[in-house]
Amino acid sequence: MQRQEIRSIVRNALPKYDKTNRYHDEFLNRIIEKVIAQMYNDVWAISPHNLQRYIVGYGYTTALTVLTEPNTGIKYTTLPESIIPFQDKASGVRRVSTVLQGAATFFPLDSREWDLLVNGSYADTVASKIGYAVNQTRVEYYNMNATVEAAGVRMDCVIPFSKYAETDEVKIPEFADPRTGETFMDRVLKVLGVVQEVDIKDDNASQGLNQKDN
Amino acid sequence: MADTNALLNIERIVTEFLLGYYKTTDDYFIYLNHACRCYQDFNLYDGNVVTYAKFTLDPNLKWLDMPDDMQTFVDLVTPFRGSNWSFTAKDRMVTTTTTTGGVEAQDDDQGEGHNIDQGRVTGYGAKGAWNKFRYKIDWATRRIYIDDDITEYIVLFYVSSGIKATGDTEVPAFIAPMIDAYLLWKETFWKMDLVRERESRKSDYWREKMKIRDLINAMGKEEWLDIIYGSLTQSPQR
Repeated sequence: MQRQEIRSIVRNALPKYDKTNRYHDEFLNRIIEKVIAQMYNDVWAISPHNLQRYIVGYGYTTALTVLTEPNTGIKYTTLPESIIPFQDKASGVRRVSTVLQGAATFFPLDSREWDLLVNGSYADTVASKIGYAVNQTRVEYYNMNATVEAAGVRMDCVIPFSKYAETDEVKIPEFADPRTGETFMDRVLKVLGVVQEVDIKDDNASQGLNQKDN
Repeated sequence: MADTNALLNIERIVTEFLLGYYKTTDDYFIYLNHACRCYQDFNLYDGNVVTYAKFTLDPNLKWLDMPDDMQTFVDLVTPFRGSNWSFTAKDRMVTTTTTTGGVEAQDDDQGEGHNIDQGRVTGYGAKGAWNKFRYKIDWATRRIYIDDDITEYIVLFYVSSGIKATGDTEVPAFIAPMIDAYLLWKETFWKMDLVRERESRKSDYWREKMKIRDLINAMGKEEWLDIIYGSLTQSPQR
């Protein structure tokens, strides 16, 4: 379903008259984004492999550039888009690959692991694979050779709802929360439901004040 | 070649492990490090892979420096009539050295570097034998001292870690199930939800290890026949 269609469905499930004046597109986008991100994390908790269904590919037509930071010598690629973080090393970058499809070459690692690896480990001695560490703005590479560096990379990322174009397909996990039974729409409306309507906003106001309705 | 290679890159064993056990790639480097340790352990305790290094002895020093990758000593030999002649271990050999003018050597005046006096009796009733070539291993300095002025090649057989400092580390394909079992056991130390599996997985690893040990140490039919034939006495054929 397209991004604009998802928002439209949510809007149509809301009261016809928005007395709070909050149900504008950007507000709905953020609520939808929050709920989808939670659901992606639910998918991850069931099995990280399943996130494959929700990735967006970058660098498939034009490779993503690998740069070298002058001071540190770290090779890196700037994230092509914001990602949704997950509680594993790959985070929102589920896969990094050479541009030409081949054997698995890139494996996620964290910075602490990186430091320990290069401290004389056996793995560091034998590894021909490339490690990638994901942080908030870029992906850093361990053990990258000059050939791969020159060719660039491609990435499969899980990105927030707001980063899709209006007509992009956005895949929403079609399952209900196993604990509460809530679907995507249930969750979105639940979040929106906490916004009090203006009619009842001042119900508990003291009698001495003049209540003003819209 | 009709079939797959008998040697596999150790990285391939780990990637096949991730594939076969439906693992994510998150812990690849940790698994790889454990796989290397498993292979080192295999080489040391179970494997039959013996590495050698050839030396010529410097008569002024009379010691050999151990190769950096030497884990354990297997044998010290010199070629003799088509076979290897083993040296004899001699624990009381003098292994001190003297440094003069910044140069380390064995000082004759301080009793260093002498050939051991092996007084011996020959003739009827004499017992045992006397080996001309003797050695003593000094693990602290990683040297092997030799007391004779041997001019032939000396060959040191030893067990290495098997982990190649340069180039690919290739391991026998038949130990892949043992490495798999080792990785499944070791992951219970950092995946705490698997802690209850630890003992059973350790047993699985041990069974795989014993299976391979049996394979390596088992003798073939011809080897058994050689032993049997060797014990027979020839007799005139009538």
